[in-house]
Amino acid sequence: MAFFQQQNIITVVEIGTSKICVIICKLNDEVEPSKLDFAEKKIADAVRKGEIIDMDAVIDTLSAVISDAEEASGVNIDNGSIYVAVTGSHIQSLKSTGSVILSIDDNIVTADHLAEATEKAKSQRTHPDTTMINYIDSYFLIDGKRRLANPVGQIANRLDANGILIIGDRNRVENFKTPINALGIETEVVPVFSALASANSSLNDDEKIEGVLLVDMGAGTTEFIVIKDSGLLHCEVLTVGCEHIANDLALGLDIPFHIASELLQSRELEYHRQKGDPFLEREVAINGTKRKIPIISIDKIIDLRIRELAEVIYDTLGKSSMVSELAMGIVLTGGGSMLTQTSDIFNSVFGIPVRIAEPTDPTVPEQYRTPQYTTICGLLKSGIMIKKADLAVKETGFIPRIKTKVSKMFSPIVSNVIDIKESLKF
Amino acid sequence: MDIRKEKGSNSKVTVIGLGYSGIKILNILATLTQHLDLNLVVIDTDQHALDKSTAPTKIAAGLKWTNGQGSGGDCIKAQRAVATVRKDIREAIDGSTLVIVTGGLGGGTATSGASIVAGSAKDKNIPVVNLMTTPFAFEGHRKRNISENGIKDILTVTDVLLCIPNDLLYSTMTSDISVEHAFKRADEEVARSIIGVSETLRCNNLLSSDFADLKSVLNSKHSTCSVGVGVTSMHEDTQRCHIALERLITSPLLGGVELIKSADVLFVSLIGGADLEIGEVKQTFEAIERMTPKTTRLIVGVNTDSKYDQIIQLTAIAIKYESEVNAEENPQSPSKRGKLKTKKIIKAPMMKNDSSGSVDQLEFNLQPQSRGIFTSTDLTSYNGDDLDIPVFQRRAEEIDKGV
Repeated sequence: MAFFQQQNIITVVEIGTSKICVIICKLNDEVEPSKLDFAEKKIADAVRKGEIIDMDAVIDTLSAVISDAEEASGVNIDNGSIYVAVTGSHIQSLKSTGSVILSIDDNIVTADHLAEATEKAKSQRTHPDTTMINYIDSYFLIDGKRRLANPVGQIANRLDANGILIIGDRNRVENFKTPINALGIETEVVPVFSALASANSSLNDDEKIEGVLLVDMGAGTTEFIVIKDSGLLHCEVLTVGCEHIANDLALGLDIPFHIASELLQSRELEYHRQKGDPFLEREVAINGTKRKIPIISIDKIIDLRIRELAEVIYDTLGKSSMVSELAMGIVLTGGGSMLTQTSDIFNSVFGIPVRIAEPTDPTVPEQYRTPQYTTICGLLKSGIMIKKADLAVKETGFIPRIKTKVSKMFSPIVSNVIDIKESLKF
Repeated sequence: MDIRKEKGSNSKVTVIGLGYSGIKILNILATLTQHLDLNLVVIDTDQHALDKSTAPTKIAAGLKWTNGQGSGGDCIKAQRAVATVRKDIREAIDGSTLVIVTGGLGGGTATSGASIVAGSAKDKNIPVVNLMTTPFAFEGHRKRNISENGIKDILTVTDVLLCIPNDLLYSTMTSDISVEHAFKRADEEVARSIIGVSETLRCNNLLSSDFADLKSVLNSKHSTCSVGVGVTSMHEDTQRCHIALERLITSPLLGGVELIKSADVLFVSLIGGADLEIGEVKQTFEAIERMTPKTTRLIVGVNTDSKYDQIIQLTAIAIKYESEVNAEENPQSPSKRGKLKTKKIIKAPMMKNDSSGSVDQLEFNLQPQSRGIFTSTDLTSYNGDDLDIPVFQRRAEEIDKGV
């Protein structure tokens, strides 16, 4: 029974700047999600710019959230796989290549060759302080010329595996696992770069193939990645998020930070904007003093900050002339995308269509289908994907050939169980 | 729109003063000598203020609305009031070749009336120049806000808007001058500027710098400008051009030699009588050319008019774009982001003055910069900017905090 349970529970954890969110997911025999249990709690001043600054507060909140989720689902998460979203400015992507020379006598490419080449690509040496978070397959090159997604059965002298490594600072990545382990949970915690997770739940197949920029504007950080031909072209984390907008408002309007933050999230602002009110009245001090804050000032501050963010992204992508690759435009997600101005500003800076994405999976309950939950839902999807590959290896003892409609061109190649956890695909 | 068509004998310039400040300016304008050709009109919502005016045409706007007691800084009230006398305004400007609208922004009548007057002139296809003063900084946020909103309205209807910040008066005045005198001086200088601008645009015959030039340089970008006038009369000296230039430079609303040096466009016009010598023209413009850095676009004009016998009037309009010229030239920054790519204003004078070799006073960035909740976090920087500091602080944007 215990073994059975272990096969069928996935827990995903997102330690965000504004909230800690956990999903416990029960899988059915086809490794498809059968029941999702969400639990979340707001958190303040414990995570800044996506990185934990107050470990104790995070552990306390996380403990409460996990208890809630366990209670709702009736299972113990010790008996399952746990995935955690990691982010931070230290995360970067690297192109990597691994080659295998085939023997002259037997020069037909086999799955083992693919696995060996992939393995070599993954073990590319990076700075000793960094660790690999995820590896993404791109394509294989035969004899340095022919580009193929699945070269098994081809005659070749040399095989190169090309992929992208997501690497991050070793200690900072460990910091995301620490609070989970501190709760006495001994299961290995697998990190997934949060932008990859978001991409998994927010992008559709056309977008992944034609080229798209995904901007996940969270509370503490903004991750942006460019995906084309189902491969990753660029990923980066900017430590600027909605907290910066709230901070700007607090400093610009002389109001406490928590009120600015609350104002930004409430519908009140939009309500007054629609009504055309020039002012918004707000109690700003404990003695109940009311202030009249001009809506135009609020809008100006928000506009300036988001526009600058969009310009920084535009600039960064412009340097590698990637803007022209974005045939399907921009997909915005995360809490920041829910602000009224965001999509218009990105549209005016980039001059291409903008869409706001939210989790669309039918298994996700209605109240969680908002842009804030894109990362956690995508994390679950990534978890299930890894789990599927994991199970396939266990059952057959052979390299799985998972082929879905999307992955026809770029199937994930995995060699053994440990590596599966680090292999992701779009 | 080209005023040269009708220059000469029957050119008629109408100057409209709006509000109390407009009345004061026009009173001074009337006492200066060259007003002979000007058709002076004042419009106010305050009957008492109108009584003090010496202008021949007085239009009392919307006495019903205000009971003749002024608009009290209420823009909407003033706008309604001025709108009721549109017909009178049309009559007053009828047959003019140029309309100059003046007044102090920040109050009610001038702020909201200026766009109505400019609109009326536009209906009649008469070129309009709005020469408005913006309030002193010490007059507070509210006035500044009102004036900025007024500017937005005016920009849509006027051909040329010259905004003269009253604060520029500090540049040549010492701090112990009385407020009364400072305000009076401001009005006086505006009056001189009106003469300078109107005469520049009115008599235009030799080296051309005309209305279209002014319009094109002002319309291309957001800009701030300052106006200075230097006049020498009679036979003061053989060096009268030098004296005119000296007076021009010390003209308070021009903002001193620093502003000339850092201007993006300098519009200089010299008007003299039949006795104006080519040597004098050369001397004057050479002196100005030496004063300005190579990056400045210099537009010069020379005119003669029979009324200016023995007199030389030198008018300068220094225009400074809000975004740097460099930003425009950088091909990497797309134009749609032009305004927001503005480098910090604080840097501008430094860079521009490298060639002159003199040390110039920097503009103080009065906005304090702070990182708020991000005070003790890792630095997030991009291209040397600390992204944790609010954008509005880094770009020195004014924010109205409300009440």
